[in-house]
Amino acid sequence: MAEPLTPEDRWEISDLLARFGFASDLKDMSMLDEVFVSEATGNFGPAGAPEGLDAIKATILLVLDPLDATQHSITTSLARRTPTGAHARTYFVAHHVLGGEVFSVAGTYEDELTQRDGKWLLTHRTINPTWTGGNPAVLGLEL
Amino acid sequence: MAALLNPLMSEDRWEISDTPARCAFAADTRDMGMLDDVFVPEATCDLGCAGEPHRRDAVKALFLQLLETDDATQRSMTTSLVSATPGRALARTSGHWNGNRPAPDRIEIASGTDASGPATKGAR
Repeated sequence: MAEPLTPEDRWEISDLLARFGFASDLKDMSMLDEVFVSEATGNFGPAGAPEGLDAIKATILLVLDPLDATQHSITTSLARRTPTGAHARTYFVAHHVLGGEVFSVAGTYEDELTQRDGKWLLTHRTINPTWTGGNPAVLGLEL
Repeated sequence: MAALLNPLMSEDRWEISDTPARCAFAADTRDMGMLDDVFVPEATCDLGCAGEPHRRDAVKALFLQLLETDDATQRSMTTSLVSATPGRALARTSGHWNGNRPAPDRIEIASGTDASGPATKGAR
């Protein structure tokens, strides 16, 4: 049976989750080099299913670049060891701002992680939206 | 200033912070089985005006009753402080609860939860 995650593992995974939020809000895609492995994949719902880190960066920028500001808040999170690395389930609330209007999307990140060269990184992220609020036109949506 | 009698180890802090997180995911996914890793069987729970169930089975039943009218819920656990005395711990955790009802209104509740050592499985 695999050893449970250590406190050091948990802190590193916690930082990794936060780094994604800051990378998105700062639109600093280089920070994602410390979040995903190069061959990582994503299932981002309506935003797409990018394959590879470059595609993940492009997908995120496509959604966020037109916006005035965003804030991704990371809250409830659990992480556990799996046979291939670790799995983390984490709540997020993302506020998107454009022209004074706000559209909020909240949900769950389901993340698969691996340890590479001693560092935890995501191999796959699934984004499951739970609820939305505000003006969907901010993201060009009609709900 | 009182001396810290029994400082918690890092492992304890993670295990304790996982407890309210697990409770939140259990409620939001309606998976009451997860509460077996949150509450001891004889746990009591003070949910304010919603009730004060005694024992884990009653906690589960009340959770399900309270949640059945919501399409979806999200319990975001935020600020948390854990203090320890010999043999027990007290965790105070703030949460932002969001529930979507079938009716058009969405309710948001900001609240705090206290969990004391003997009532939670993760406490030592």
